[in-house]
Amino acid sequence: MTNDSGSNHRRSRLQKLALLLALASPFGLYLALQQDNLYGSLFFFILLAAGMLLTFMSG
Amino acid sequence: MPLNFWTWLLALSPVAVVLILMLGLHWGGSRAGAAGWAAGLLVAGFFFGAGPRLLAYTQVKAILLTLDVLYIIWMALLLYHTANEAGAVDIIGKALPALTANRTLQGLLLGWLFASFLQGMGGFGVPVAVTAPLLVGLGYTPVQSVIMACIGHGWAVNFGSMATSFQTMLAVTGLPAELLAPDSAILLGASSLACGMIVALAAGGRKEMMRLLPPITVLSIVMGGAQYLLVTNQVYALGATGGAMAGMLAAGLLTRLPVYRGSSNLDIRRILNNDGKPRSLWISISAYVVLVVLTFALNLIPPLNQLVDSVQFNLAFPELRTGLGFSTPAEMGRSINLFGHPGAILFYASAIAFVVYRRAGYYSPGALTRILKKVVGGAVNSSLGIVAMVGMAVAMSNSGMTNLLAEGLSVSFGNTVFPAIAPFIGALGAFITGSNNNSNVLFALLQMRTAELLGLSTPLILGAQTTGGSLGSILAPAKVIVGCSTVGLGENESAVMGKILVYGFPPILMTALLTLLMSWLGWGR
Repeated sequence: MTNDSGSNHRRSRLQKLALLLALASPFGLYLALQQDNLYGSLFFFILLAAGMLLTFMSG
Repeated sequence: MPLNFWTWLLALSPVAVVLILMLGLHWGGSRAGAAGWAAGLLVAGFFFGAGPRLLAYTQVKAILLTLDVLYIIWMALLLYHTANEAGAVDIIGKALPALTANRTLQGLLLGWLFASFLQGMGGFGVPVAVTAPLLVGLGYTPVQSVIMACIGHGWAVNFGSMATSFQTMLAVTGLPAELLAPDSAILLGASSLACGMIVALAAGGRKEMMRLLPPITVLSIVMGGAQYLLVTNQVYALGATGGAMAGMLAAGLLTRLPVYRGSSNLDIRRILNNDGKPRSLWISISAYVVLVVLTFALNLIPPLNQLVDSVQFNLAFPELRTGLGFSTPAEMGRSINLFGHPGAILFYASAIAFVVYRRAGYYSPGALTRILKKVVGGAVNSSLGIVAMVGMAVAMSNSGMTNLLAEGLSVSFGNTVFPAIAPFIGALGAFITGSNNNSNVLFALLQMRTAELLGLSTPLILGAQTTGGSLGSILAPAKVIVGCSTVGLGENESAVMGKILVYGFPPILMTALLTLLMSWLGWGR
């Protein structure tokens, strides 16, 4: 029961982090693309992919 | 990319990944969506010539579409929990059946009209979760109750939840609401008759269904007609809510006729007494009255409309071209109207309703925290699924994969048969992904391109897509599980599932035949 509750809590926190990354990183990505900033684009795309990975892990 | 069997399968592969993982392996929508997102970007990049810049821009476009939908979902849940925490939803649900002594009519009032009203306001499994236990309380078996609660609100899904699914269809196809609303409203209105008949059949058998056919027909005309009038006058967000409210008013009048009234075994005074904590029916429904008044005022009074429409969020995108030559012209992304959006109107209504309920003493201490926790708890997982699937769908669309899929369908079916197939594609997408919204994300663009290639009416085919999605979403295992869990059928879901599929098939078939007939008559061409 305690393990279930702990794992649900962890899952819920992972999902919130995933949502934050997935919703916020595309705006950074847009700014970087507009400025032709290759490393910035790469950084924000990796953040977006990390959000998707967390979505996969916590889904 | 040339069209052949293998390239068509390759274009289908991201959608197939989502469908196989959800249907075959019973993965949740968010997890399967993330896998589909990765598959979509990889296939687009390696086989359809989509470069890193194109893929990056598609994800920015996708997030604008996603936010447009999530704004409504989160705020609709906020309004529902604001009313539910005050006990308002329970009071309305218990007071409604006191209108008549006829048991099947009571079942229709709850399982058809009230469930549709809840779909208009909240959606996301709320109608089933709320009405199934109330139906058990009226004396229906748990299995009957889940079937009635699921099927009854099928017609209301597309324009329900403040028209989230419809909004998604607009966002994904880029077509104007005025073009798509009429045909969608006609097909959904017609399906309300089928939903009502199925609820009566499940509640009282074939004889009762035939006996109550006149009031069911009148109510479906009232609900479908009200929905049509609202959405063809740009009040999309209140299409299903307004339709269901008109239906409840008409039912109030119909049940005054001696033939349907009888003497009800439910005492309205005892219901409003609420075990010693008296409630007013008017204060209970105030959240929804405020929403209706605000929606009409902000949409139909020009100075107010201009005021709330003054702040828009938007981004510009350049032309995108794949290495294989598929091009998407430069465009403005989805525009989000920060203060006049349906999500904003839901927020205003929630805030006003919260003050009204609190002043009336309907909340116990800590209500606001509980409301916010329930909203976050209910919305995060489904939001992740939508983010991932919209990202996948936009990548597929901008890399030419959706176009290739549409070409394949148009070659396979031809324009004579395709109108009958369109609702089943929508229903399949919703059944598997658990949502009309997700079905529109996956298939609306595909249906639009296929209709264009076949020379069919695009609004009719998209109307069939979203009506099929609406009717298919109520059969989704996720919703059935919600219903089963609220009536103590937690371990008998498979038995209910089989019956739900049998009862849920006729409305989809009827939509397919109606679409076929309208297409043969040259509708919209």
